[in-house]
Amino acid sequence: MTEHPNAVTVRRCAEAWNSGRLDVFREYLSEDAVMHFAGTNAMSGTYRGRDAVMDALARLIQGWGPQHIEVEAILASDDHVISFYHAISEHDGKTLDVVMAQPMKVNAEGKLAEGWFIANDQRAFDQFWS
Amino acid sequence: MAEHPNAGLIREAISLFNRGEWDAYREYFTEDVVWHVGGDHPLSGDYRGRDAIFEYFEKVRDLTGGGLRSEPQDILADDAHGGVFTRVTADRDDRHLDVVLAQAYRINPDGKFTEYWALADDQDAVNAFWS
Repeated sequence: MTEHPNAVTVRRCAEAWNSGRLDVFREYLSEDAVMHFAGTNAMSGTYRGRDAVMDALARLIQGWGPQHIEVEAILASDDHVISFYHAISEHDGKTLDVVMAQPMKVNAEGKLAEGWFIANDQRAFDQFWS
Repeated sequence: MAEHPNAGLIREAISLFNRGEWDAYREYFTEDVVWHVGGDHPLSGDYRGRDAIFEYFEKVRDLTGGGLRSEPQDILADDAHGGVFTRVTADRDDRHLDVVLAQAYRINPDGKFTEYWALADDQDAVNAFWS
């Protein structure tokens, strides 16, 4: 079965993240994109608009690197995508491996319009990054 | 395209939840299931084990007079995962809730839920409703 175009978008974003090519995200985000980061850590909160989301992603990749994600599954329909992935972070000699579930809304142009990040062990994630 | 069996599973589970058929609903969960409720309100957090999760469902039922409804708009699934975008409405005293929840499930080969995440499009509204 051919992969749904919306799944392809998310897979390309994951590859871009792992190779540090943040510019790739700009073409996949809608101009009014909204991203919600759960928990109580330095990234938590809601970012509204493509520029704000790009700033947040830059902060995440620069301040929190090296971070690597391994996609476990991507589910897609015409309006939504949900990706499940391991987020593996190294920081001060410690390693954290959490599973993130990331639901997203996709607009009619196939751009990512809204997304949520939540970890399966949000407390460990918050402690690691606080 | 035929619906994936795990999409059917989620649809049935939500229907049992809406009808308050707890005994049948319990069958959809592993004993050591983990349930993550997002947001920043008294019900937010991680629930570990089926018993803990059903205490949470009972709390939700008691607080809303059994009137919380979930209407799936889009269900996505593969062999080990499921996701649903569902409109959730509820009333609690004079408060009204009407949000879309994004729910993600991990599903084992026996067709039981092992892990779950829930997030709202309007988390502030959810936080205010439960606080």
